[in-house]
Amino acid sequence: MRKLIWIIVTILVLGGLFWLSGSKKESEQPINIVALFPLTGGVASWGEASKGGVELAVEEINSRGGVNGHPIQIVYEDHRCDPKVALSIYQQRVVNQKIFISSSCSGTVLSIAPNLENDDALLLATVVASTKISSSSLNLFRNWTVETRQADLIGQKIKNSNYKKIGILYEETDYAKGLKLALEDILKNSAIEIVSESFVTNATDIRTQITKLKLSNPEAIFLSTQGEATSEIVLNQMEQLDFKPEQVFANDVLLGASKAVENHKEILEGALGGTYIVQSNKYEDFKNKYINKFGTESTHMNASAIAYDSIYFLKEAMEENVYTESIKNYLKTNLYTGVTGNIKFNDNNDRDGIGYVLSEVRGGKVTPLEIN
Amino acid sequence: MEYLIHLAILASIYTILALSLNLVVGYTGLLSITQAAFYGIGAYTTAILLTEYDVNFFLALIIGMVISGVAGLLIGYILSRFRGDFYALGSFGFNIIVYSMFLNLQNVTRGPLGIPGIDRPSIFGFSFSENFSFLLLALAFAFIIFLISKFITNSSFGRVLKAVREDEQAIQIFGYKTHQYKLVIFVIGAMMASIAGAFFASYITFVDPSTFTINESIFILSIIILGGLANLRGSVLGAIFLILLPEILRFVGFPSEIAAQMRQLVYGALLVILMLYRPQGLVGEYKL
Repeated sequence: MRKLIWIIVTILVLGGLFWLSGSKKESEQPINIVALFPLTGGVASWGEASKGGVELAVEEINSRGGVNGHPIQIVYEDHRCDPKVALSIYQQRVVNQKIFISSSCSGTVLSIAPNLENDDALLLATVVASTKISSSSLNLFRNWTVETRQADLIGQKIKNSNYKKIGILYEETDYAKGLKLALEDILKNSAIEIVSESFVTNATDIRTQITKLKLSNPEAIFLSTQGEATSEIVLNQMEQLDFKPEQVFANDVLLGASKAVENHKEILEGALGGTYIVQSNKYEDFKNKYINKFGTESTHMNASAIAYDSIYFLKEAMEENVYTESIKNYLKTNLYTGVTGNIKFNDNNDRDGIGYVLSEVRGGKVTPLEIN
Repeated sequence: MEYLIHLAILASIYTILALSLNLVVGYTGLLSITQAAFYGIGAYTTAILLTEYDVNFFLALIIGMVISGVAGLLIGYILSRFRGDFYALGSFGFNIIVYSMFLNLQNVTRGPLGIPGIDRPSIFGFSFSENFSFLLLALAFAFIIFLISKFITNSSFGRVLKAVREDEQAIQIFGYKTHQYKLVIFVIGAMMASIAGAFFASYITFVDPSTFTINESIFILSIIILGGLANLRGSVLGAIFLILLPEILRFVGFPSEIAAQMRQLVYGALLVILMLYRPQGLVGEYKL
């Protein structure tokens, strides 16, 4: 038995040393950026979408000579949406790498944030909406929107429609529930009655919740999910139970789940929601490039585009600055125009003036109606 | 160095958890799959008291132990009347109940949004804000828990626990009220797990329900099975091994496209191999 343990340990140690042994000439030394993404688990689709955007950006940047001659190298790490795992990865990587980009799961960002300033490291977080992230560290920037902005867009639409009762069906995750709470907050002083039901992420049967909502007979429903799979389950079971209120509102995750939207176009016909992408020629170009590289759109093109822009913004900052402090100041004081529009961080280091688009589902496709 | 300190802190926290569970599973033979619930109670108590009421960490830790102990007393009272599979199922259910409470008691726990911004411990003006000082504190507590566990297992009380594990009916013939012994050790285990929770909350600075699922209970159970049941050194070894193994795997140069998936696959495969060749764990004295 001891022999076996020693064999396993030896293989692992040798493998590690082999991996660590690669050295390059000074001029070819890459600039490493650590990508903390969920690559396995329930929200892996967001991590994969972000990874696609990063890969595309890095390929383009490196083919044009990288950052002042140094290629960008991304170290992909899987935080599995677990704050403990994210902190472990961060602690290991921060010794040699100071620039981090992350995707998804507010908890992972919040566990790292208190260490950033001490370690002189910088984190550019994407796909995280918790209001608690704002101002949690001077070295933390968020290239995504806070949950209140999307809720505000939908809330105003609900208020203007004079509904008396609305239903909310939401997933028990920080993002989906955060949106639900933000929407309730916006509607709290109105006369609108809210009935809400929730389900856990790994639930496969939510017919009970849907039936309860159906019996309460709301005029409109807001669907707040966090994953493609749960979006599919919600829509599928609403269809099975023939539950289609007068108006369906959905969050950007559900509207971004293109296959689910296409599969359930009848129940979603006329559905409204916020989508987080500025429609521009640049974005269309990005989409085409993405499809050329990967053969298909990602499951969350907005996450891919944001990740793509984030790498370009970092590249721009690193071209003129070497130290974390100066890169931070560059991000803080400069504006970058990317495929998702203008990126400018406000006093809380949140992306400012982000364009949320009220969109409508027609024939299984999500079409923007107006720019907020 | 910070990375090693970080891993040592995690290993210390999981050592406390493993020791607490080994008393229940290894020494008493009660297959409890609920340790994450008490771990969570300790973590949430600390998180809430520190962020909402500005209570000192050490006071919060004690309050967490009391709450966890009371919860352990209530559930243990019911569970102590069960044996074998029924005990496991009952404890499994309790973990789910507590997890659901973390998720749904939104006014108290903030539900899935979690509680961020939990402070590090401080006492008499000294703050354990540096990771190294935090590690020393965590190690000190792990050592104290180890000594307490050793005292319990070497005492006459501990010998009764082992007898309960070996043949409960036989020891009942001698007049021992075994359900009381089972209840007491269950409560002690719950209170110890709560200490680990307090340290976890303060170290990670963020808690949410996803950390305290049934998977975490199974992970803690895996630590003591792998390290060795009814052996305190086994709990320490198991915790160190299972904390370090996934970290070591991160240094193996898998292709980046499949690295994350491969690491989990290899991690699982290594555990299966170890259990095949060493079913009693690394230094185990008892087999489930």
